[in-house]
Amino acid sequence: MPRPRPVVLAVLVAQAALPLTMLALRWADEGSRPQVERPASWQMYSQAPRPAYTGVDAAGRARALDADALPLLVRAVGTGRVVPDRLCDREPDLVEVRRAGGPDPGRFAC
Amino acid sequence: MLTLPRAVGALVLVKAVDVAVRGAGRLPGPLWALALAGLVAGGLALLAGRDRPGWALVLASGLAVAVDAPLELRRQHLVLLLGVALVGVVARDDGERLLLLRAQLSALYGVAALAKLNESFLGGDVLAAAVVRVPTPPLPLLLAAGAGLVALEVALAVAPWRPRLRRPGLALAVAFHAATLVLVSDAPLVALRLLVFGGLAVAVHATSAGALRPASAPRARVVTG
Repeated sequence: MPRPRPVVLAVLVAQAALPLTMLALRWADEGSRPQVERPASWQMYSQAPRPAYTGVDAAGRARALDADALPLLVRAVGTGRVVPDRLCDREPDLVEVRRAGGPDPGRFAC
Repeated sequence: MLTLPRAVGALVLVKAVDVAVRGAGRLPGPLWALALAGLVAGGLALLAGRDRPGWALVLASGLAVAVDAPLELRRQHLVLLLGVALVGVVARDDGERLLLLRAQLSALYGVAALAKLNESFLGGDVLAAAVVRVPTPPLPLLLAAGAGLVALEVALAVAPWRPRLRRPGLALAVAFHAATLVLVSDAPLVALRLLVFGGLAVAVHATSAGALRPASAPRARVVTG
């Protein structure tokens, strides 16, 4: 195969380098739970807003909960009872966990 | 035989509808109108088999559209359109065209697969939010679909380089982009943009697989005297 002309080589490099740079920048800024799609990046449908969790105890007091302390991958499941059940287990005084934002907001009894 | 320029020309006219509906952004009205006219002229030139001026017009007016509304660069269909037009402008022969188009497919699907290797996608949240036409599937199905989509995009990145995989890759691309169009679009303009993106990706796959010619046939010269 003949050696590509310099302009063809430049396009080949740009085709790979631009989106890979955008991906590296997103990882550096947002880690493994991205919420932003960078321009010219081929990052379509790969990010989601993070849900926020609040716990309510028997006296009705509410406090913010940190789901990031849960195991990798499990903490990012924003549908169903996966995260609420683990937060209830971790903090036994809670009677309810509330999830706001994300694809499946709601209230989950412990 | 249908050609890549003709297929892209038709999709450029669809994109022109999107730009016309959106209206002017940063550019003064006359410049925006010029960009829109350039897009339409480029699409018509490609449909007419005038590849060189067609690709150049689409590239220049597509860049003007991106300057007019920087949000457009986050719409991957315009980025893909610019990428294909750049190949049309730069490549001198079918060998260079096919090399650059296959590299474009590999970059697109390869980086898209890498970008999905994150907790939000693999945990199912992205799919649960994106798939709006059917009720949210149960979590095991979401998790399996997430991993399956990453594998599918890797396959679509590799297929253009293996002759035996090009036709199956084309069939896979048609099914994938048709399913995306049906399951994800929740508004007419979203559907239109997904149609342009999927149409471009399928046209490039079809060119790689030999189902579309990479360029229009050269015009016969009239020799007089």
